[in-house]
Amino acid sequence: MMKKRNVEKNEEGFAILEALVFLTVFILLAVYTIDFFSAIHTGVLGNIHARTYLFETLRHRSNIDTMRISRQPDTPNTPAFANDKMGHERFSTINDEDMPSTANNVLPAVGRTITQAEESPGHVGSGPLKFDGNYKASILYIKSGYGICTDAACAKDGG
Amino acid sequence: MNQSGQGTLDFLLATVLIVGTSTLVMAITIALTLSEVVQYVSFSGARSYFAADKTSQEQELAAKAQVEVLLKNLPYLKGAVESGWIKVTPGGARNYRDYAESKGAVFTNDRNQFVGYQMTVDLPLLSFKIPLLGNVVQSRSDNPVRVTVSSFLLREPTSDECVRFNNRVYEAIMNKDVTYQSANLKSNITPAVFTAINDNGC
Repeated sequence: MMKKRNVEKNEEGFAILEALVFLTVFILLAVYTIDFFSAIHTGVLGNIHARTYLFETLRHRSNIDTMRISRQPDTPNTPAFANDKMGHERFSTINDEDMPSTANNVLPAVGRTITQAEESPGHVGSGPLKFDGNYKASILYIKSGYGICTDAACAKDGG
Repeated sequence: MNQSGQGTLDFLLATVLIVGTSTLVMAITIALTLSEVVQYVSFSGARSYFAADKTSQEQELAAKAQVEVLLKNLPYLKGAVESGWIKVTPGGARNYRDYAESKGAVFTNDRNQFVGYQMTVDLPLLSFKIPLLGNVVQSRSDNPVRVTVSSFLLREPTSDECVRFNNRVYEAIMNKDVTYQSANLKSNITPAVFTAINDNGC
């Protein structure tokens, strides 16, 4: 009986256990501070890059409809996307720096993988994500774009 | 075994460690926020540099003036600069192709998007010592935490550049075929008296 009571009162190692718990919380806080900064920073830099890309493609032209005009002989002045709001605006987005430049068939989501999180397959490049309960927020998707209206019809289409 | 006072000792030790590590988290948070504010300043400088002017020197001056105003007046940044938490060294507005190449960018043609504003930022804020744990930064240099902040937004051609460009176009047309030169002779127009009129950029 005396021996059992001594074991119950023995507090050796408790400090280490407490330290481990608090260290984990502390490291998580520090890591998420940096992760969320990275996300905001990615958004800001992405916006700057998208703007630069758009202006670089315009090349200081006074007519920014260039390459938006159909060259068909029967409709020489019809915008290539006449029935689409894209015909009245120019919009540039950028890819994730880790994404191959050939992945341009859709607007692939730019992502910042949060530390220690595995990327879920099938989400990248599949368009906007829906929060359906199955998707766990292990990846923060950031898509930066910069657009400019080329004519007044842009606003009518809600551009 | 007498353990009286052990709790006080534990409390003091824990307090010192918690205050130290909390200061570290706070310093990192402030440093990251400040770097984002500086990123905005460089963006604003690059935007001022972008707008067309008479000469490229005037574009550079516009960027410089904008950055100086922001460094002196942005509330959060102003206080941090004055208190020595951050030291901002404006690098000026120019073509930073050499910088891009030094970072590994390979240019296969004349396309260059690395035109804008850049500044160097030192963060003395992070050079402190946490009691019982040691220095946050191990480097012995004077500026151990130094980052480069850039915003590359390109630059619009100046009106001087437009005139030169149009003059070169005129000369190229004149040299293309002798027919054009004879037309000039008839109308007494020579390259010396030719004046380009830029009505909408170049």
